Amino acid sequence: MATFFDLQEKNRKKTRLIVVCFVLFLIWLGLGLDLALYYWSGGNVRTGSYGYRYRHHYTSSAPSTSPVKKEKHFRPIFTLIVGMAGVGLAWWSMSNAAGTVLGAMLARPADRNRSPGEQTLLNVVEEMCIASSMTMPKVWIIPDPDPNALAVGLKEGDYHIAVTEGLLRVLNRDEIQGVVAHEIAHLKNQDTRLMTALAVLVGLAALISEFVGRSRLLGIGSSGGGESDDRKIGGIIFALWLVSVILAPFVTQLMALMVSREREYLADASAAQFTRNPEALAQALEKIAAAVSPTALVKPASAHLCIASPTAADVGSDAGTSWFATHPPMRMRIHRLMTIGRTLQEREARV
Amino acid sequence: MMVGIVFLVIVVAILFLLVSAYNRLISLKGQTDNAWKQIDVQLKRRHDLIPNLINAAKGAMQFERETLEAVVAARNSAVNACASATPATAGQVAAAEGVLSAALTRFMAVVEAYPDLKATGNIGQLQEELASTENKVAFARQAYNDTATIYNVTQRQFPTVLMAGMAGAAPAQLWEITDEADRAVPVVDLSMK
Repeated sequence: MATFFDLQEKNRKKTRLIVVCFVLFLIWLGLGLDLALYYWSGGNVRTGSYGYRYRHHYTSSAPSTSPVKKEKHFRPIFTLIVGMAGVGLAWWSMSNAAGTVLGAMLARPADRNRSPGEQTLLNVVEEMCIASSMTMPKVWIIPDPDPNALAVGLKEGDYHIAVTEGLLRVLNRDEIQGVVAHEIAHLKNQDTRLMTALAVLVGLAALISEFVGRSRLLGIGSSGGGESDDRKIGGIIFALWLVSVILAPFVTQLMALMVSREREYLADASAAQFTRNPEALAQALEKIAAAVSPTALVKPASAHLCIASPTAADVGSDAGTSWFATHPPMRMRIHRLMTIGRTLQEREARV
Repeated sequence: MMVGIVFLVIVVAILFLLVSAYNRLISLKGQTDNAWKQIDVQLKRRHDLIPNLINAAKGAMQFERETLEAVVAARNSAVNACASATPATAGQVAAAEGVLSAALTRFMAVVEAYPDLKATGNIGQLQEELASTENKVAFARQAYNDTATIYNVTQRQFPTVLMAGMAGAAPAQLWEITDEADRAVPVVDLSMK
């Protein structure tokens, strides 16, 4: 039987694998063109269009000691450009304050004296911080009648949790606790940072694709005949690279969504660890799913941060895992939570 | 030459492994101590909250004097037990807090039985605070147990077990609901009847 610790471990491994694939794919986007150009310029005695100057036929089997060989350095210029663009994009999106997201949702700070609901909410957040050994985030209320909740913030000290008024009205104390635990788990597992990083990589892939589509790079492949081996290798690499670039925006988006869904499962399992009450979160999810109206105030860009997808399409669907969803289907999440619950009960019965 | 390099790489790898094992143990020890202090903080919070609660309920609950007195008595003995608490004396603190929890549970049950009392004044608000404080104590304990368990398991695992002596790692006692505390609860109930 899987405990929540096992589930968390499995989930982390899976995420790591996807992220590694992701990064390798982007490195390939940069390196592929460089390699293709390298082989082309190696095969031709010419000044390459990217400043490669190779006078000698490149064959790796030739153990040449001639000084001319030193000229044949592989210069990954395109890879460097891609890398620099990535760092720039990352810096830009990291410096975006969490306040902008919350401001767009008309969120106001939760106040202990305003209503019993908000008093409970603040207490519950404190409890979950203790259970997860986290520092207290800022707590916000979104004036929206649809039950939903989200976590924002990229670093310790700038963490925020926001819940809608509808959530406080619809759920009881234990269920709110489950939802808050899920959001705290997103912060604790650093999902906000991971998803921001992935958004940067998706943006980068789209940028490369756009750039290639608009530039005259496509013309390179057709120029020149393919008589030497190097030219053939270069041609094959270039063809593969071109296909990758064309598919890149689509593929990276799907990978990011895959990670997003895994992180939802992980946050559910972590919430079970913090509350030791997975049934309450399962009930909360059921109630949230029952409220079919979309959360109007939450923008699609922040969808992956919510407890449940804020768009109408995903909320009510009973279908299997969609490739395009930020969240796994409710039924699967509830099923997994109930399994954790049964394991907990069995262990308690044994002790 | 080649053998020398291979040897060097192996030595560096082993050193790296040992150093990271040592650091992991030290970090876990710090986390465990911190989690222990969190329990302490939450217990003190609970102790501080009880006088407020008693004051708010005193007027309306003359007829339940024993219940209030039991809470006050349990609180005082818990404060004493906490004053000299270390992870080694976790058992005694747990026992005293168990008695206090039982007294508070009984108090809450009494409040529930009198809807007027719940409606008047700020009892309702205090009730939420008390419920939350109980939860916080429980969650602090849970966080301590989770951390201490990881710490204890890591101490026995390879390769961290090699560095356990140097890092001064000793098994941390888990905060368990001991038989002693379980038995203490009915005793309080009997004394009040």
